[in-house]
Amino acid sequence: MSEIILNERAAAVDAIENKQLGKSPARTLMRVAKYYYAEGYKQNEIRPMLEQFMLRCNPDIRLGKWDDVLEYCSKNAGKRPLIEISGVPITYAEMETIAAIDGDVAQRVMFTLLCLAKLGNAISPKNNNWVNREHSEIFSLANPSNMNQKRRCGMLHKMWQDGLIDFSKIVDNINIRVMIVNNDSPVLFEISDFRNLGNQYRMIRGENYMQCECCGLVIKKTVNNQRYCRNCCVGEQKRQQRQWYQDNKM
Amino acid sequence: MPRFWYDVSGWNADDSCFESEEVRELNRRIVADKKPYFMIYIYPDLMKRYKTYVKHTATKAMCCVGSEIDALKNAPEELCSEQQREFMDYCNGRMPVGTNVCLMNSICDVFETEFDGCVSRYCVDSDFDYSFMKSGKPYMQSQYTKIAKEYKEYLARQRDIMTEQSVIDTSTNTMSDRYYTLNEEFMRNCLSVCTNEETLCDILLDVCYKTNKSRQFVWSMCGEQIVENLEKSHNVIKFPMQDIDGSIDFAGMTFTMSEKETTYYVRDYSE
Repeated sequence: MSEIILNERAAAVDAIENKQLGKSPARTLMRVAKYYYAEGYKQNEIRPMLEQFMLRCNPDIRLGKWDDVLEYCSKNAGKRPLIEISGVPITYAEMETIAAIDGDVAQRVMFTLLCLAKLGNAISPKNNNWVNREHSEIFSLANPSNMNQKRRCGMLHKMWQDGLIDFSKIVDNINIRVMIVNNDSPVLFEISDFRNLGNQYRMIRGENYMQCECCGLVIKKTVNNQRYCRNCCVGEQKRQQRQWYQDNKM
Repeated sequence: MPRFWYDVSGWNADDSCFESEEVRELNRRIVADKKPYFMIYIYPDLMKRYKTYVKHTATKAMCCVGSEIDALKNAPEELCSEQQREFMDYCNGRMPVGTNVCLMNSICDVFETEFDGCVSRYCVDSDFDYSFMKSGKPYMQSQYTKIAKEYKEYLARQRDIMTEQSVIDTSTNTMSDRYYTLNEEFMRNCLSVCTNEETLCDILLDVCYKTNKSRQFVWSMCGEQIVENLEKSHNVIKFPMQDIDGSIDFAGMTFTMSEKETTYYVRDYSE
């Protein structure tokens, strides 16, 4: 499942400065290629710059294996502009519609679909509320408990019957169209982080969820004075120990 | 090859090569726009397209029509609704391969039925009783949970190394060093959970042999202990020996089973 990034320019600059290819090197390369194109470089200049970037990230890398990817990125760098979105607005009417849905998991899935559809609309005005992602990715973002394929499809079928979503006419196309988008209503809040959308919905509803002070990930609060997520608390603990040692050494 | 032989839209209404409307209609009916089904085993790209199509139509059937696609295929036509019949028509029409009952497709079907699931059946060692490798020491559930976590982490790290190996130019020595370092690290982690090697061996066997995932972990962590357990409990080793008059056939040679009694030496850790 790929990470959803709202500000590709910042992500590209971050990758170049920190010399990181990240979990998905191909996507990072595409972002960096688009950044170079936006900065005014020509297509024939972008390919050698991408190679230099890869070698700076990892001197042992086999450039031959990445030939197709580099060629594709340099050729298509100018095809689409950089995505620079601050956030996706969710309106009052949309939240009311979601709150009226029967079932907590269904509400979270619908919220996730709404956020993804609005993100698609922000990236491309011709999107028309479609969500063109794999169902596994959508349900993973909605943070449900373990759901098998049959349960997922059953839930989507119920939503379709209720008129909340629609499917493509093409028989092997599993894209979903969200039918509850209502931009005329006043904006309630903006979603700027597309991780754990289900948990974010729960937090908005007032459940016991919190945002990590370090990375901003929304997680379930297990302790009253919890401030960090599991990944960040280890680093924070080490930092605090180091700080204490330095203070007491002095 | 004329385009109208393989492309449905390849024929032109004004094309004068057709003698009459009947000939044009005939050509349209017999157009070979799809490869037959058995060719999925020749063209990997076609296999991928076919499998993706089957997966997506199955999902779409459950989402849109509300029933599984196998049930729709097997249901009598008179019992299906208009929507279900329409769905199946489109599903069969847009199939990327031709599923008509021709000779090669029928032969392909016979082979598929015969070999269906045979690899997974042989891979699952459900009858393999690994208890003879154990030391027989009891352990706590908390230790089992921690070791299971370490196993999961080990598999993830191993996958990262293998992915990196395909991308970065590394020599065999570098990779073996990396695996050695990885094994040492996890050995330390496992021993911090359970200091007794015999108990650790039992926990690792239960963690690894209850699933179908890689069992390399248990042999890397406590291979020596397993061999020691085998020597202690079984002093007779059976192995195949090459023999012209043997009853076991393998790789073009014949073997017979031989036995040898072993002596178990107790290690003296006091020295």
